[in-house]
Amino acid sequence: MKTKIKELRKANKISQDELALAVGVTRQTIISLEKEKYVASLVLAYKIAKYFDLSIEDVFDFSDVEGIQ
Amino acid sequence: MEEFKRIIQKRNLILKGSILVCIILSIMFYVIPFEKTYEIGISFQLGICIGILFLGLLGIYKYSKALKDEQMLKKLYIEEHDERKMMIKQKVGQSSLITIVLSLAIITCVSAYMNMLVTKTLICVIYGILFITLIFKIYYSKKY
Repeated sequence: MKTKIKELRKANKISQDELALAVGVTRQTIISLEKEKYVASLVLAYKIAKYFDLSIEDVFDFSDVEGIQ
Repeated sequence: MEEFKRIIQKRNLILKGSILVCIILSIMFYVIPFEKTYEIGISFQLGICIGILFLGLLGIYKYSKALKDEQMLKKLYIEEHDERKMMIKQKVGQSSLITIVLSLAIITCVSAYMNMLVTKTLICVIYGILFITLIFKIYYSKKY
């Protein structure tokens, strides 16, 4: 799933480590999210969106997800 | 975080208890004269005790450090509850189970031509694994 995590992180000058610590995951999870290898759970997606003060749809791109129009 | 701290303290205690038991058993294995026929079994158990001892000491060191430092405790909490790591553990468990059972089945078929005792042992192992898997499947189906 495509995400804007990397762009948002760079725009806010936040490291992967800082973001990981803030949302309660390891740095490897943030790396996997940015590389679109891992799909975040609902709770994690909400935490990340809330961290950047955005909605989930603004951070995660659901256009490629099956069943969503 | 307080709850997790209590869990770590409990784990520390359990590890210390396990190390004590292993030390006692190791001393017993050396002191008590066993028959020569039991030598392989005793050596195996002694090896396990030594392994538990080393791993236990590492665990105690890691947990004691975390209990003294809030940041380390938080890092430990994140490492243990990271959703990606938990997903990887689940996938590893699933894939390993299927691979192990299939491999054992193939080896059982081959061993049937060589040694019936080995074949029967392997069949018992396969049924044991499948039975335990079924129990856990029923348990988690009811839990979730």
